[in-house]
Amino acid sequence: MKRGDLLIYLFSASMLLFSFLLYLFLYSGLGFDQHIESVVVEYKKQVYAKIPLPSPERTIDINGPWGVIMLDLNGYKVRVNPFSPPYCPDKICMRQGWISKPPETIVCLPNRIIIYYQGGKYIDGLTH
Amino acid sequence: MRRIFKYLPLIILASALLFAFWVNKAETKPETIRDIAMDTFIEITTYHQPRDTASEEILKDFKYLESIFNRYDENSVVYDVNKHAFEKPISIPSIFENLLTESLKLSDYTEGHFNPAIGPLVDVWRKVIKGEDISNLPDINIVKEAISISKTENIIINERNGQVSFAIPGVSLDFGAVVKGFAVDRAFEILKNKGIERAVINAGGTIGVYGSPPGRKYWRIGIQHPRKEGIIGVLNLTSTMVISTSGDYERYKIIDGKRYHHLLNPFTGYPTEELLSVTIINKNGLLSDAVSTAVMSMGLEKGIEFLTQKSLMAIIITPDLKIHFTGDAESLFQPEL
Amino acid sequence: MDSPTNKMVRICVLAVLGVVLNLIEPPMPAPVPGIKLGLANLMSVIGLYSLGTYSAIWITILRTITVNLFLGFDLRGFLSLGGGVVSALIMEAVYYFYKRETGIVAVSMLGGLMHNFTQWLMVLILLQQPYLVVYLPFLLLSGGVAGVFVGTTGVYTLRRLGGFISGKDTQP
Repeated sequence: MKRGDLLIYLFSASMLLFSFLLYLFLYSGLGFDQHIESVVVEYKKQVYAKIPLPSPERTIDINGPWGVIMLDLNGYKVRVNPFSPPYCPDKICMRQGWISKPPETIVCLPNRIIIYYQGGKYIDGLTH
Repeated sequence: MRRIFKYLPLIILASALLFAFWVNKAETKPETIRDIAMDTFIEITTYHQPRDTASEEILKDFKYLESIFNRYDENSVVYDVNKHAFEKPISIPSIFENLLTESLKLSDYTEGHFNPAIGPLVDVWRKVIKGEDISNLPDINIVKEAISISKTENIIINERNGQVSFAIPGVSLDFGAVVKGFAVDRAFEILKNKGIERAVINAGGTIGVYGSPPGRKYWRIGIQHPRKEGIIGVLNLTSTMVISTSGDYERYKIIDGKRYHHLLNPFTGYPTEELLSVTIINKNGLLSDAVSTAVMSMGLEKGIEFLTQKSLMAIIITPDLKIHFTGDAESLFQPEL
Repeated sequence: MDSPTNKMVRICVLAVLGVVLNLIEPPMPAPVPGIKLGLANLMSVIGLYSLGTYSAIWITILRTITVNLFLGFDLRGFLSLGGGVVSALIMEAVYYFYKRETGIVAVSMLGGLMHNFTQWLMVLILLQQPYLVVYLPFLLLSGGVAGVFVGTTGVYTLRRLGGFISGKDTQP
């Protein structure tokens, strides 16, 4: 252990701590504390599909220049169907599994596809 | 000392990992189940320890209530009562008697504006609102006749035998306005018996928040904007409360530019007109449901007078989209900008 | 034995070993695809501490370009090049200026951390999806863990093979 090492560790630890604090801040309600209205499929900054949530249990195909994505929906949960036709080489999004609330996202980087939740301010319930 | 420094990176990483786990474990995890029951969307979120079954039990209870109080289901108790209670007294389960007597009390409390015997009038309008009978509004004489039957005086409860009968033919009970609030009250009982700390019950728009909010100051309940998508504002609540809203936007049909919706004025026999929506905030769900329906029928002036006299918290929205408050409701309300 | 050609050949051998590590290393199950644990960084660290300044950056560039020739240039290649170069540059700088005050494990951890941080930053700029912010702590943590692992492996490798790699011993 050398003198400079200590500085590096302190720097790394503070970076980690800062990112955790940022994470806590975002998750605990100030930034992304949202009430879910829909799930959005975005391709190269263009919205290709917007599905209102909650949705009954179903699978939908979304066609686009990249091919077809099969999205599984169930309530507020969303995933890329693992048996979706392979439209990208690494298939990470297919293996990722379910996302269930913002700020969770599914990203297919090679195709620049982002699947994310959209909604208003966070509420526990809606009276109507 | 040197040895400690040697392992410092591992110690830092290990503590960061522990920190991450601590963040995850800091509170009991919310778990939400969703289903359809009582002809509406149900969402139950409980904050509980693993393997707790309170949510399932509540859902089961909701389905049980549906099997008793759905007047369109031929196997339900209320269907049986509505069909045969004039011919002979019908034995009813205690839960039925309980809701019936409570509803009659609330009918008196709201000076008849909430009416559990409104079934005949509902049947007259149901076809119009559902769009089955598109062109014609109901004949005024049919409406008048339905009003005359829809009187709570025609219900006779024999408490000793646990039986109910009707004084005249055609009487029909309809608990549609209050069964959701009643269900939320029962859900709170289950939560209390199970020792659940906090929960949110959404029974098709009647929302019950139970206990204190999780790690923040308020429960936030959105109030549906009566004329567009989204919310008109948010209620910030600190403890157990039931929020019930009646609005003219829920089930309606527009005929000749006029909106005909499912909330009926038991005195005129026509859909209520003066208000877009009424939201009641109260500890008692049954009362919230009944009063929100009743105030829709009372109209603005009478409604506010009634709510102020009973010191109930309410949020009333008029056709000019102005928001009126009674009780302490204004202090809880936060308009959506 | 200290001719530039000699050093270049050794750098290339390490880069090729890095390519192999890179190809057999599975990607992390991260929600941001293409981000890897960074085990291939091992060769850069070993190179830096046996062959001296500039070797880490060369190994990294050669490695990522070769891997991309195998896999086809795409965004992931761009990401790994960016992450690798930034992390190598930072390690080089620390090594160059503070060689006496720092050790392999710490420098390698910093490299791993910066590797993932840079990739995350690039994805963030590319997609402009603010939600991605929440993945940062996990990426930093995994980068740091991988860095410590790489650094520790590097210490033992250099202890046994350091002379052989740098060409100062001819026998391993």
